Amino acid sequence: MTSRQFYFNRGMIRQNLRQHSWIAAVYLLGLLFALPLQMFLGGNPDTPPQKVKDLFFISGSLPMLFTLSLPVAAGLLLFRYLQHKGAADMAHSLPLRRQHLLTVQLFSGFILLLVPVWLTALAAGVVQSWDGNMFLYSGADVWSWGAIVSVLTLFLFTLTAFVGICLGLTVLQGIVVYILLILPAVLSQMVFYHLSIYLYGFPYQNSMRGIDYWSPFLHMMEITSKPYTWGELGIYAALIVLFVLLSYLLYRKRHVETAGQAMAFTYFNPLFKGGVMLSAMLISGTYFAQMRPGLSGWSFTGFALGAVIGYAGAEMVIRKSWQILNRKLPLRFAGYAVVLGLLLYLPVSPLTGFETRVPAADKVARIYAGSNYQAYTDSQSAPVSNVDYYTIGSPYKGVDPFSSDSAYITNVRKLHEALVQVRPGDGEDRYKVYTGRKLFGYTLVYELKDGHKITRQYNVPQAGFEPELKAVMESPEFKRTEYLLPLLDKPISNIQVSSGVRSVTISDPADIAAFKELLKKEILNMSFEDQTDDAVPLATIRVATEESMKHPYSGYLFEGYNWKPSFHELGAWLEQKGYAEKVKIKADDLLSVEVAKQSGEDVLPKGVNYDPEAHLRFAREKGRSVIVKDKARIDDILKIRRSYSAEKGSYVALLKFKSGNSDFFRLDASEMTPELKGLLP
Amino acid sequence: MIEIREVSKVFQDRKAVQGISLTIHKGNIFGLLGSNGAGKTTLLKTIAGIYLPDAGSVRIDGKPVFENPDSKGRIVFMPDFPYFFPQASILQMADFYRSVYPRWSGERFKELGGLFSLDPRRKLNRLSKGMRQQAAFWLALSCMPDVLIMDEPLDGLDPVMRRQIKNVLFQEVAERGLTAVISSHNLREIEDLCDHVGIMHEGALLIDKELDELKSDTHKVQVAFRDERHEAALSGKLQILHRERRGSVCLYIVKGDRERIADAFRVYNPYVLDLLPLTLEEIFIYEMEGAGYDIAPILL
Repeated sequence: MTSRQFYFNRGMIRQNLRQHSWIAAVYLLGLLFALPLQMFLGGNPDTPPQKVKDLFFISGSLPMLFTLSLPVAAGLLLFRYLQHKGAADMAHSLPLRRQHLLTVQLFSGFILLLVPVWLTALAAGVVQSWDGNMFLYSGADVWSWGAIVSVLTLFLFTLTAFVGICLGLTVLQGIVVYILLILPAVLSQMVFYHLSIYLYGFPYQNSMRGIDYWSPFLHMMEITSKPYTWGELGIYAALIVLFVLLSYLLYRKRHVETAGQAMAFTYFNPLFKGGVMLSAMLISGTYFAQMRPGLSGWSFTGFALGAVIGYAGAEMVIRKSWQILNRKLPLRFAGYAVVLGLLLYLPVSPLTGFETRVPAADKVARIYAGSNYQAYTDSQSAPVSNVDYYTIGSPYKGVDPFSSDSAYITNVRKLHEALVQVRPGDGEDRYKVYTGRKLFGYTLVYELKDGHKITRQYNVPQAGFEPELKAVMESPEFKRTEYLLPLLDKPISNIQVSSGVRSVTISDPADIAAFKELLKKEILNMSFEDQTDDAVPLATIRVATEESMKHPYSGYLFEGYNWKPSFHELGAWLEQKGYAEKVKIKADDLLSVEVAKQSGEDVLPKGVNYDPEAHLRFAREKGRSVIVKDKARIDDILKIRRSYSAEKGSYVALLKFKSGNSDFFRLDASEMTPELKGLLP
Repeated sequence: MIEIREVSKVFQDRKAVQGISLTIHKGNIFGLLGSNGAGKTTLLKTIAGIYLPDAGSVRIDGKPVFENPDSKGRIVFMPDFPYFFPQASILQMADFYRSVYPRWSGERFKELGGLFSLDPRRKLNRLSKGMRQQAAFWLALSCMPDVLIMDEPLDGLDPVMRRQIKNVLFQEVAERGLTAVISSHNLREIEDLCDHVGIMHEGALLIDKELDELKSDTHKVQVAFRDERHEAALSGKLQILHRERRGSVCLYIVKGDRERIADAFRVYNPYVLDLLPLTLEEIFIYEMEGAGYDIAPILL
């Protein structure tokens, strides 16, 4: 026989196709149903055909349902011959080398799986211009759909094949494949959570960004909300090549007699045991730490429990028996426990210097500080499909969050140093830290001159950090990124000012220009106190840029600005132009206001301390609440109302609007007019 | 010629085959005997190139077997439970083997069709164990192997079919010089088939003998001596495997040339002297006893 006859043995391929063609048939039917058919069944028949950003838009993750199942099924069935004793003996007694067998199986799988994908893409191309097709798309869309689904299909198939080489049980093979498809997301989430519990300043939120997409399974299920980028497809393609190469390499070393055993290679056992044990420890340790925060006894119990369960579980799978106890077991377990304990402890130990590291000022090139870092870093990479649609999805897009201003760097470093020294909230129950205290969620990001990046996340309490916070928050660099000032420099189509009860839209270009200049000035003039003040804004400001108006399906309306009571100049302008009259809430808009003094913390049970409803009910029961209906007094209340908080000695106010809405606010005795004060108990 | 040198195979701490060396010559039918778990199947699969031995080597006509298509194309392995593709018919399996085994003979396949009363279009998973075994023979022989390795091949076959298959095997050996290796836990089943027999126990090969040599070499002697002292005098002169006394009659199993043994006894002019032939089973019982083993748990 020639080598081609060995590598692509006709009889083997024919047998595979005869035995497994149903997979191709089901895959084809599924994909035809999920794509070309949906082009006619989906969409709104009363509107003209809709232009789509990519073909996944048409039926969502429906095609992915088939792509997630059938390539795995093909991998399980085509490599069943390794796991079934009779089939394994037969296949390996044939005059074929292992590389011949593997090539034939891989090749058969490729044919069985790719033909349906390509036929479906062909069908989508053919029906493109047919009457009744509810969607508009280009040939390039069809090509990119075909490329994405082909790559994902091969990825799942080769992964299943590779896992099949490593294991000896078909059921376990299937389970492990799906675990591996989800594991990257779950495990990294656990790791990040673990780090965030034990590492002060760990940028948890920022690390969790897009973590779902680390799991091929979750990413495929959410393909419409985050299409694949060419870079990601490249990674998948590289993984396909890697799995194929590793399969050839390991298959040469694989013993036929491992059919029916859990693990085909005993040198994988420690890896398997360690992996299962680590995952179990993280899951159980972080679970207990989350349920009972700050109590190290619980989290230690969690880790220990996870270690025992993980080790026992892995041992049971390897031995295919639940009777695993023997004399050597405790010693082996202890060995694993020590290694994994160190693995979990070392990254969060003081040895890393993570918690105390504040980069020297002369090493910092640029810096970011504020609460919006996540918004800045989202939606950065371009997807595979039609680019235009995704690039303007966020108002933060294209705005550089970093500043190289040296005074600003100094101020941020000072805040960071103070935080590292005092460590507010460290080791405390994070829910207790959040409630009843004024906190600022800060992300600090340093871009160092050597190219490294240092990111930290803190909840900074206002109390005790005023000087440091003031220095940072009053700097124009901070305000530029925190309040997204660059957006106001873009061509703006209209601005809506809304108080919740009524709103007005400013669309006169001259007014828009004047308004945004004033708004910028007011924001840049805000003092620290203005920014931390909890006075209720008179209105929210919604900005629609011209570019986002051009893309009604994927544009945005930015609602990040407020008309604060402290914006006197802007207020005067709005009054003068007559806009204020059309926006402001008036006493006439309200039915009544119910006011009561807030009871001391000790009066109410612990859990409802911060519940305005509970405070009001308590006062009502004691006959100490007052219902105000006088217009003049309601006007007083509207002027001094603040965001609700359970400060002792203040008042809780329930505003009932004529529209049927109602809202809780806080009133401070110091700001009340004598007339209002006279009404209250 | 199959050369097995110091072959060992370990399964998860259990030694299935321990340092076996064995040579099976071309045209021989080698019977591998042993109780369940003796390591027969492991040895056969190692010879067939399915298992890689942990130590030692298996060569066929000087060439290694494992991962060597040239050697494996001349070997066919028949497992105790023959495996066929799910839903496949004999014709489909034949089609498959034709594409894989370079020496497949369609002519031979047709010829053998007359021997087996099977419908080649029937699905194999609907056939009985015996019929599947027949199908496995049919397919294996059509591959025209130089070496045919069979694990318990006669289990489940009726006596007529056993006879027929034995005849085909004799024919293959005579006409083409086929080398066959057959395992069984039952000596009687293969004693008329093999010309060479090995007995395995706990992974080791206890005995490896040419049958003709064994048969002509071991004798059962019944004798009644005139004087009991003759008995003692005799034991120094002959290679006695076994001695038993039944009243005045003594039973001897003796190794050696028939005439020489008869002469040795006649010297004492016994009342009775009979030299009787031994069944193969008896020979093995006494041989093993001589080697220090009790055969009952090993064979039968």
